[in-house]
Amino acid sequence: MVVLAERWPVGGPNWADRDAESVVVRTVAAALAPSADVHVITPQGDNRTTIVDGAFKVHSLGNVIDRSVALRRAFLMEALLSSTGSAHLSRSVSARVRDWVGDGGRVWDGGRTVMSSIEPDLVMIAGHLHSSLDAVIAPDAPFVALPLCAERDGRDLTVFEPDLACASAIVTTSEAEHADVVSYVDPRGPAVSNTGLLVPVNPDVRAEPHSALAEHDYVLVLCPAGTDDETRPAELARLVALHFPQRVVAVVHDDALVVWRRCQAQRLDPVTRHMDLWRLMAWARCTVDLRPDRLLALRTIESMLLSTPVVVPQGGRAHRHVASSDGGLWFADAAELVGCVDALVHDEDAGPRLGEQGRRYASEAYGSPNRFVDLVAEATGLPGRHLAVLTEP
Amino acid sequence: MGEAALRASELVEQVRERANRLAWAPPAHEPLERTLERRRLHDHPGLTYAHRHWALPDHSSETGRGPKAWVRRVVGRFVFYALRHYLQAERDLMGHLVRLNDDLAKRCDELTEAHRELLDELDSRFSDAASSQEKLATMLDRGVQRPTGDRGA
Repeated sequence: MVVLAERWPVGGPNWADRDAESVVVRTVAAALAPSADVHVITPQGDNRTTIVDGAFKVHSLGNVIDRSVALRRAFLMEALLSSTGSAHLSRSVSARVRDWVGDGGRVWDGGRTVMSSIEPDLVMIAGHLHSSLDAVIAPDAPFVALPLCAERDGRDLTVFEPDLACASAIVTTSEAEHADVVSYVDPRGPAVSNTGLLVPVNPDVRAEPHSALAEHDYVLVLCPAGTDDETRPAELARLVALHFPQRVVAVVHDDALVVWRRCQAQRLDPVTRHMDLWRLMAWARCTVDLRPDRLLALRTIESMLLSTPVVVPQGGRAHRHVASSDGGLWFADAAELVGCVDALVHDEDAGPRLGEQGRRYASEAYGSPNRFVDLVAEATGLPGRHLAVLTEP
Repeated sequence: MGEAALRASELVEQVRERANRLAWAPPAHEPLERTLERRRLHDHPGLTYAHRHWALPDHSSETGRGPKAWVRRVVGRFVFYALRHYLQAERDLMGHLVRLNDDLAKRCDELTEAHRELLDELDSRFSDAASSQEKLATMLDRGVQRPTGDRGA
């Protein structure tokens, strides 16, 4: 089994260093590890090296990644798709676009050599905006797609490279992603399987609260912005803190943990360790995730796994999780945000019940390693076969 | 029989209805009342009197003529001589008490001043908070159509 990844996350305790796409790719690859040896080939790194990373053997190509080329090509293909009104471009047109724009430099240069030395039976391609894939696999080689199709908004393109129709199977990790991908794939095309994911949380965090909030009943706000930023999430975080002056509101910023009491902010060291974040979640009255990641809403799922109800923006993957599970509430504007938090804070019954409903949902879809491994194996048609995973951020 | 599921969508609908009924008015704060006496305790007449009269006499002041005055002087000298240690101790005590009163009055005046400054600061903060809330409400009012959550960042 070979994994080719533009970014490959190295394990560590810091949660902020690991984006959702990297986590998904690593976790899916780990689910395949029981069936075969997993090799990872990634263009990242300063030079060509091979290291052992847990269950994986990581081959770094040491190439420069120029994402602008893939983006330019996607823009051009998007324009062509819009003008023709079709859902897919033919291979010849795609090849011509590639000729015009270029192949993204030498992102995968040297990958073919590594691939040929491993000789995988199957390739899994993660991500959907790849460039110069021809440098690493043959155009007609079979592959399993892990498209990492994030929640769509107006800025997103509808181009998939490689074409999902050519995949032997497609793996998605959430119901929402599954629905999005199905809408792009011909019904007669490859099977699209939703495997969920294994999102680990440490249950021991329930034994002891975070030291800074040990004696407080608090609301946790996840704000992916700096303390002094003027972004919308930062505005909303301050709004929640000021709206509940009699409550303790802990805001996890990128650069600090800010604890608000009586409208006064106390700035503490940033929360970097996963354990600390989980501990904050486990002991909170509710978790407000102001900007969930667009692929899976990992933090939302983690909070649900810890039985803490969540409040998330309306629309997007987090909203789908919450609505599917009745594990929290969602808001469309600032007034609804404070209304949701108010409901969970003042209703002694609603919060725990929503938290328990969310835990049941998250445990089933994202908390069972055996189920996840079985679903991935079933979706890819493995076990016993060799597999390569190509990833793109 | 398990407990019936709590429908999040129903709760969100209730939150939405309440949000639609939100009414707001900027808070108005009266200045905090200053009830403490404004006169400085250090200028209290009692303290002035204590300063002037804390030193009690340590000898007889009899200055008359004649046998009676002579007898009073003798008795006075005898009495003051006999009580000289006690009178000295009482004189020291009185001196300390006056100095203590002096310091207490000074400290009291400082605390009164600090209290006044605190009230001024509180008034100022109330004004700032009211102004901030007014700006926030204006922003929210204007931002009704703005996208929320991650899209607006």
